[in-house]
Amino acid sequence: MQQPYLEVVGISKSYPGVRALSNVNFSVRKGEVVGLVGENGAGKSTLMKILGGVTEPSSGTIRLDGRDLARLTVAESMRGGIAFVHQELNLFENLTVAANIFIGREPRRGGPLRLVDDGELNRRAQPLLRQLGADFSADTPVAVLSLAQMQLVEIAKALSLNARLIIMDEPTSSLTASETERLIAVIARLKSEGVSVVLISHRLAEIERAADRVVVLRDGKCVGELDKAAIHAETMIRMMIGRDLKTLYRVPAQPPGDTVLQLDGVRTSYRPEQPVSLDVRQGEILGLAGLVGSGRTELARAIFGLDPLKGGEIRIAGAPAAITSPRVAIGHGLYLIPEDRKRSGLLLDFPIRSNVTLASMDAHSRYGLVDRRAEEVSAEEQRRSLDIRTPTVAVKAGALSGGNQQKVVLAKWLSMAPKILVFDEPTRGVDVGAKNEIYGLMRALSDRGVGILMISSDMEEVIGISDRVAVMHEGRIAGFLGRDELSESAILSLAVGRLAA
Amino acid sequence: MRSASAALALFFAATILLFSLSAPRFASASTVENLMSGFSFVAILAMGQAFPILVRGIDLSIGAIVGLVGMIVFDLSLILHVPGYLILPLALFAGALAGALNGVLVVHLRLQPFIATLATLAAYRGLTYAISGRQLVPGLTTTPIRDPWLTGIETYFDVGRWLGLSRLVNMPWVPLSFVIMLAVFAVLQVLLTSTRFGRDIYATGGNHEAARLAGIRVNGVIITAYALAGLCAAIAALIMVARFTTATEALGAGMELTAIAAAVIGGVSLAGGVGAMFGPALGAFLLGAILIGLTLQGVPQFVQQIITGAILLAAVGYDRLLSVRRQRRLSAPSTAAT
Repeated sequence: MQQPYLEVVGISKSYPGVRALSNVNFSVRKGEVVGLVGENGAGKSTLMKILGGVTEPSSGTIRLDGRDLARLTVAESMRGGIAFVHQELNLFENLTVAANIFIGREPRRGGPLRLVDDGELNRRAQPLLRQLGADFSADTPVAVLSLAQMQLVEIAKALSLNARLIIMDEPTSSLTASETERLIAVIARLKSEGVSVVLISHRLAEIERAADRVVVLRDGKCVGELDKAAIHAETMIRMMIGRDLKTLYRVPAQPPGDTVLQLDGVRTSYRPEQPVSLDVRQGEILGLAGLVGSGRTELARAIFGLDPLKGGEIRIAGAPAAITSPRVAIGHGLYLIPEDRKRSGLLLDFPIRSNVTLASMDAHSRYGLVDRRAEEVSAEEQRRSLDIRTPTVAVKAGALSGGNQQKVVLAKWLSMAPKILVFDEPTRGVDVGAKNEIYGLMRALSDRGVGILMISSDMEEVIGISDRVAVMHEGRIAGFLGRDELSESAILSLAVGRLAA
Repeated sequence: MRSASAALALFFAATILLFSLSAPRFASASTVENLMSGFSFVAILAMGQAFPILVRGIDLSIGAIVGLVGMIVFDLSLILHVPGYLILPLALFAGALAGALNGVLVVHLRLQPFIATLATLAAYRGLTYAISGRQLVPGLTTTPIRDPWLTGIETYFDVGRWLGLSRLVNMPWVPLSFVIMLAVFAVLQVLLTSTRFGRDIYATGGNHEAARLAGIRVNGVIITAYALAGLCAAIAALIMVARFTTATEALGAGMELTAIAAAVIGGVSLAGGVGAMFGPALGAFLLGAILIGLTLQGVPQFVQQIITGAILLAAVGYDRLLSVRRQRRLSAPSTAAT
C-alpha cells in the first residue's frame, strides 16, 4: 500500500470549555479525492485550520510526506504543498487573472527598475488555466468573471504554488448546477494529474459523485470512514447525526392560538427567486432550521425591516404590515434578538440599565428628559425576573458573561409586551446552565401568548424546544415538520436538499 | 469619564501655573480677559464639533459655516437693512441648515463624513464669496455694522466692581461672549446627558447597528448632530462679527481644526460615543492659554503652530490608546465564556 501523502494521527484541539476535536485520524493519498462531511460545528473548520497552520493542535501528530510534525506553520503548510480554496474567494477584482495567480511573486524585468513583466506573467498563467480547462484567458480582469470562473483562478493559484493537496471548503455552495458539473470535472482532472483534493460540502450528492473516500466528523470525533462503494447520502446522514437527544422539550400550556406572523411569498435580496411562506401562531415556538448559508438570517433581517423585501407580504395578526425599518417592526410588537449580541444587540459601553431601556425611552422619559428613577426600577425588575447575575444594573453590559448578556438583550424587549419574538441563534456562546434558563424563558413567553420564531443551527436546540420546525435549503422552505415528525435525520435530509425521509 | 475631565482640569491648572511662572505678564487680568473674549467662541465651536464626533463623524466645514453666516449677517444688515432682532434668528437658522445639509449628505448619500464635509467646506466658502456684499457693493467694505442687536454681543461686564473685588485686585471684565458660552454649555450638557436625544446620540455613536435594531431613528439623530454643529458655528459667527463689526470672506478659515483639536483634547473619542461638553470647552481654553502664553514668551507664530499640532497628535494618540484598551476590556470576559 502506498504511503499517504498527508496523515494526521490522534489530533485533538481544545478551546477553553470546548473540545473542538478529539483524537481524529485523517489521511489523504496522492491523487485521492476525500470528502469531509459533518454538521455545523462538527469540527471540520478546526481540522482545516490545523492543516493550514493557522491553529495549533493540542495534541497529536501531523505526518506530511513521511515527516512527523507536532504542528504546522502557515509557511510549512504552503511549502508542503497544501493549498486552500475558501468559500469566500480572496481575489483582487481590480487585477487580471494572471496578476491574481502570481500576486506577490510577479516575474520582473528591467533589471534594477524591477518592473512587472506582464508578458511573462500571462505566459506562465496560460498553461495553468489550460490544465483546468478554463474558458477565459490570463489577461481577463477578474471583475468580469463569474463566481465559478473565479474559483478556477483560485485553483490555478494553488497549482502555481505546486500544490499537491487542494482543500475546497464548500466550493459549490454558490454555484449553479452546470457550474457544479464543471467543478466536478475539474476535480477529476486534478486527480488524474496526481493532485489530491479534500472536498468539504453540505451537498451530499456531489460528495457521492466526486469523492473516492468520505470521512464523517461529529462533535469533534471521526465517526466513520466510507470507501467509494459505501458512499451513500443516507449512510452519511446517519453517521453525521446518531446521537441521543436530551429531552429538553417543555409542553406548551395551551394549544397554539391565532396566527400572529404570516409570511406570504416573501422574497429577500439573498435569494430573490425563492419565495418563502410560513406562519407563526400565538403561543408557539417555530424552529427555523437549515445549514449555514441557507438564508435564515437574511429572512429574519427582512422580517425586521433591516433589508428591503423583494416581494411578497408580511401580515401581523392578520393585517398586512409594511415593515420598512426596525422602528416599524417594533411598533408592531415584533422584536429581533440578533445572532451577534456584541455587534448588533448591545451597547457594550452602556450600563445594563440603559441597555434595557434603550428601545422604550418613551416609557422612561418625561418632557424629553430621561427619568433615571424609572429606568432604575424597570432594569431592576428585569434583573430579578430574568435572574441577570450582576451586583447592580449600573455595570457595563460588556462586563457580563454571554448568557447574562443575552438576558439583557431579552430584557430590552420583555418590558415592551412583545407579540412576536424572532431569535437568531439564541444560545450561541452561552454556557449550558444559562442555555436552559433561556429555553425556560422562551417557553414562559410563548405561554403568555407570544409567537416565537427561532433560528438555530443547534440540532439539540431545534428538536429540543420547537413545537414545529421549518427547514430552509438554499433560500427556500424545504419542508415543515410537526413535533411528532422531528428527528435529526428528517431535518438534515431536508436541510441538504433531499426530500423528506 | 469623570476622571478624564479631572485630568484635563489638572493639566489646565498646570499649564496656567507654568506660564504664570515663566511668561512675563501672563498672570494678569488682561490675560484672563483675552482668554475669555478670544476663546469663548472657539469653545462654542468645539462643543458643536463634539456632536458629529460623538456619532462617529467629523465636521470639517464649520469654519466655512462661520464665514457663510458672517457674510449673511453682513448682507442682511448693510445691504438689506434688516433689523438686528430678525438677523439673529435668521443667522442661527442658516447655520443649522448648513449643518443639517452635511448630515443629509452623510446619511442619505452615505458619504464618508470627512469627504462630505470637505466638499461642503469648499462649497460654503465659495458661496460666501459669491454672496459677499463686499464684492457686490464695493462701497460697503469700510462701513462697519452698527446695529445694536448685533454689536451688543460685544459687551463687557465689570463683574469685579459689582462684587466689590476690584478694590482688592485688578479684575478682568467679563465679555458677554463668555456668558453665551456658559449658556450654550449648560443647554448642550443637559441635552446630552439628561434627554432622550442625548441617549440616542451616545447609542448611535456607541453601536450604530444595535441602536438601529432598538428602533432609534439613527439617521435623524446623525442629521441633528450635524445641525447642532452648524448652529454652534452660527453662534460663533455672530460673536466674531460683533467683535470686528464686519465680516470678511475668510472669516473662520481654519477654525475647524482648532475646534476638532479642542474636542479631542477634551476627551471626545474619535471612535464615537464617548465624551461630553465640559472637555471640549475646557480644551478650547487650554489651547487658548497655551497660545497666549507662548506669544507672551515671544515664541514665533510658526513654532506655536507646530506645538498646537503636536498637542493634537498627542491627544489623538491618547484617545486611540484609550479606545483600544476599552475594546480589549469589553471583549475579554465574554470570549472566555465561549
